[in-house]
Amino acid sequence: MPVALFFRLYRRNFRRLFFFSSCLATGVAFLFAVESVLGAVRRSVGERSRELLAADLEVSSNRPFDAAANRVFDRFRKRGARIVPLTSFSSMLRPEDFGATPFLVSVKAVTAEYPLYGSLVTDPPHAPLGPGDCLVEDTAARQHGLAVGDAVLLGDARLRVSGLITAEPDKSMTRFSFAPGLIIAREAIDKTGLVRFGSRIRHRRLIALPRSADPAAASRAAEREIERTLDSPYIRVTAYADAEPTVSRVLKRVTGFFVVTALITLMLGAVGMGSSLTLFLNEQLPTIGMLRCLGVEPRAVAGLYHALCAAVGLQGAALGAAGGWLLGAVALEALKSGLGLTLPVELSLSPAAAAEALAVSTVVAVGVPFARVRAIAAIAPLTILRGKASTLPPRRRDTAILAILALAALYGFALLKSNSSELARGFAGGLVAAAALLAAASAAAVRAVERFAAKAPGLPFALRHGLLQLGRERARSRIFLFTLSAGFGLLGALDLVRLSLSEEILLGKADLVPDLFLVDIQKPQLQGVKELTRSFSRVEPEFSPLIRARLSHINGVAVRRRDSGAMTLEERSRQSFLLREYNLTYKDRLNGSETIVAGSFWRPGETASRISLEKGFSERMKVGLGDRLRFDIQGRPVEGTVDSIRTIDWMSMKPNFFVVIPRAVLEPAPQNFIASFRLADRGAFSDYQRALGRHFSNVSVIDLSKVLDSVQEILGTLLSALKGVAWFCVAVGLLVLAGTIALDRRARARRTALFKALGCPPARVAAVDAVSFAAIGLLTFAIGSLTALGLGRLIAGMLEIGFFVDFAAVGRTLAAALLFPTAVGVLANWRAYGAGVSKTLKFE
Amino acid sequence: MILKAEALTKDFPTPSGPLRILDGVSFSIDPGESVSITGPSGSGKSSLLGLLAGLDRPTSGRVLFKETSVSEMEETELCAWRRTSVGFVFQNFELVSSLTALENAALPLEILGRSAKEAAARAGEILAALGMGARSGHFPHELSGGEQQRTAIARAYIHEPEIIFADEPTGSLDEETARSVVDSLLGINRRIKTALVLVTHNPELARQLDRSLTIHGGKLA
Repeated sequence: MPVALFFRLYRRNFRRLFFFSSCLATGVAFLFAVESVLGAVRRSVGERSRELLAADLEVSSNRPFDAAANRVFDRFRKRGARIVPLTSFSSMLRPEDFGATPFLVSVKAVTAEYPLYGSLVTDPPHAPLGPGDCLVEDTAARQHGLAVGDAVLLGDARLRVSGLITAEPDKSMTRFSFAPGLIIAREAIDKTGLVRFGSRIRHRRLIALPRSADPAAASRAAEREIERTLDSPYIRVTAYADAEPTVSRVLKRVTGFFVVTALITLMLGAVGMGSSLTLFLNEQLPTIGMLRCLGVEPRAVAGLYHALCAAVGLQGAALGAAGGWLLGAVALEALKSGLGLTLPVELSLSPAAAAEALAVSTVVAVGVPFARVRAIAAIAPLTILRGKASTLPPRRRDTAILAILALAALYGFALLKSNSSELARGFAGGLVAAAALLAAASAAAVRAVERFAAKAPGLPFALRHGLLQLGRERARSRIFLFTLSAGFGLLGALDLVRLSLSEEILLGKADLVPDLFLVDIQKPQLQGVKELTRSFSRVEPEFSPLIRARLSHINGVAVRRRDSGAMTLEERSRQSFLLREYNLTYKDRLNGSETIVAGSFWRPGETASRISLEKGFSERMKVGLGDRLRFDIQGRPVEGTVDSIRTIDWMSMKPNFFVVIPRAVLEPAPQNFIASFRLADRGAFSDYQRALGRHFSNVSVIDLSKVLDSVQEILGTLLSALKGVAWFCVAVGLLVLAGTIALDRRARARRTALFKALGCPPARVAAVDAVSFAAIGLLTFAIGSLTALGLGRLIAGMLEIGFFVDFAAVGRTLAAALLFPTAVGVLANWRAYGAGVSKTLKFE
Repeated sequence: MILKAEALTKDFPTPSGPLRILDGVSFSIDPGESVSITGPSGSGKSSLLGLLAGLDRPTSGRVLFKETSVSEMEETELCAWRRTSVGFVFQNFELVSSLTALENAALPLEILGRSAKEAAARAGEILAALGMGARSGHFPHELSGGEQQRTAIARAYIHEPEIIFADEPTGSLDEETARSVVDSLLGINRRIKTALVLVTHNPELARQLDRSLTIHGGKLA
């Protein structure tokens, strides 16, 4: 009998059950579509990031690679990896023309296989690079009047400029030198005579790994393997995924945002489906009462409705899997055509993904209304038939067990999706806490409205009855209020996090970020360079003094090289770090990209020896507030106490330094200056370079605009995907919420007919409904805004994004929260206002 | 004459074509008169009541209320007519679940534009007269069937309408409660001279009213 009854109930309520399934399916579909999109974005960003390194992996050292290192390279070659050697060093380049000023260049000696990824673009195209040739960076050639065919001297070698470099792949925002680039053939190194004992040479190996399904993971695994095998402080291994910290940082956050968005969409679907199922179960009470009267046991009734819920879940899984596949295809196509993703997109519905959809959907569909089903199945039949059951709450024990299971499931699923226990913990804990607060706030708000309306008989008819309707139909109102506040709160939070992330990605004002650097400005040239640069710059150029120094003492203990034989890798790495030469600067004011995170920065005019350190630098040096450092600046000691720690937004492209000292202390030291600025008119670059070359020929210009454009382009791809994902989530959320509101239609239609039978004009009935929904909107606005701010801050914190409250965005979301219930509620009931009274009372 | 039915017919669409529920029903009711409409189940009693009360429109024919055609009234006119001149008692009470007995009874006066306070005071008097004084603060689901129906009666006549339509008002009640409900309705009918049209299966109840109309197969017998 129960099986037959199940199919009868299923057929009778097919349309409504289909709607519940659709709510869930949207969430499930989105979850799987996001995985496809995320995969494609990751692949696309990865492809571009490889160009920033020109390889999957770079191994570099200040010492020639020893036998052990070469054995490792051979091992990789045997596995199918391609490896090219590269040698970098700085030197002076002298145009052969008599009287021309030599200038500093960053030399890169390459083989014909270079680059492994990306392309070296020259003018003329594919310029030859024989042992007697060289390629000069176009900006430097313009500044120093060099042209193709000219002869230059690099050390002892006489080379011919065979082409100008207009773009080279292995340059990133954190991997450029303060000198224009010069590329020579590897065979020409010996002719220059510059690579000998004592020279500052960087030996590099670029490695392209064999094709793999997850190149980022493969490059990181190779990075770990080389580090573990070589275990040397002098060798640095960089995987392409970490080559551009800004991109990897943003990608990590965007990934986190995607996962959170997908989980939120699933939550919205679950909340919508849960609320709808609860309303449906209340409507089913007469049937349940009748079944109980006919002798069906509570367990059988519970089983029947659990089975109906499971059917909703199975339907949701099937719809969700198909929808996810379709949505993924549409989204990827949009990304391909809109954002120029060139990767072949492999879209398939794997059995594992389908099984996951099935499990998620069924667990949510059975789990969310579980306590309610058990409660109504156990209520005495007479209680149901007297219409008292809908106000009875689920049993506490069931609710508690369900809450614990939900928390565990949420945590487990978030962990599975994000691979981050911190994110999963924060997400699950935050959502459960938010749900508890929302439930309490919704109940309190509904109670307050009821009290107010009952004690205010002087209110106009529509207002009084609208509020009474809201306050007295507690169970229904709480479900609405909870669902809408949760929905709009989540959507608002998501929007705030998206805007915060966008702000961070685009740096707020991308067109004002400096993209040109000046290096080696001498003190007497400072004023002149400033004046010249100001007339070309869009923003006030920033000049910073640069003082070279070595660290001599930490807290009175001399820093000196010790036998590294007994040291751990970390200790050797720290020793190497302490012994290097540092660039210090002096200033009395922080620039906009610096934030003090510990201690305090000095006031202008400070004369005491104080030191401010960058956070990562202080951690690596293992020094903190109160420690005393002594620097050796060309033989003169400068000692000070660390009294502030700063973080630096390196994406700001402002000249920044690990170590800052007050102006009065360091101003007399030998120094030169660097500057950063952005041209007001890119077309005037040649004019600027000519003017600079004419008056200040030693000053080099480093053009980072191409690198910056490249990074911005990658970040732009991420941002576009981000926007699309967030707006889809909003659309899904609104649809689910609209469906939930519309579910109340039957009860409202009946009440409308009754009011009309008593002579109340349809417009006044609509006004009563409008007041009721507007009050829900107002409460949603209040509770939803607090939820949005709280959850937004929490999610931003989890994703390590600076939380930025865009009040216009909050206003937009919450204005929708205010108007949406009224508009949907009145529209959903529109037909009832005009329907015949008799028919409605008879059939609804 | 307060209400007149002129050749009322009502068809309902069905998959096998229109089904005639009422077929040329004509009669009239005088002010203060009480009339019962009886007949077997499915004979069209409730449909006729719906047409008389302006809750539904006839397929042909018309209903006149003091020479005005109710069947041709616009929705707003119908609403105005129902709120000033008509009271209803339904078989399954049809009380607003979110309002107390007092608030349900006071509803027609509030719809008429009286203040909630004034309406509540009058509803309190009527409920007390119907023996519901102690239960006036209770919600419908907290009341017995008889108490709910007495609340519905209070709601039907609080605004002193010229005619009350009652659709099987005792159908869901036990014999004793049914008798008390009928006594209440007839008491109002006699005290304030409100016309009463009552649909019932119960011949004993029908005999207590001034006149009885029997409907069979959609026609007056």
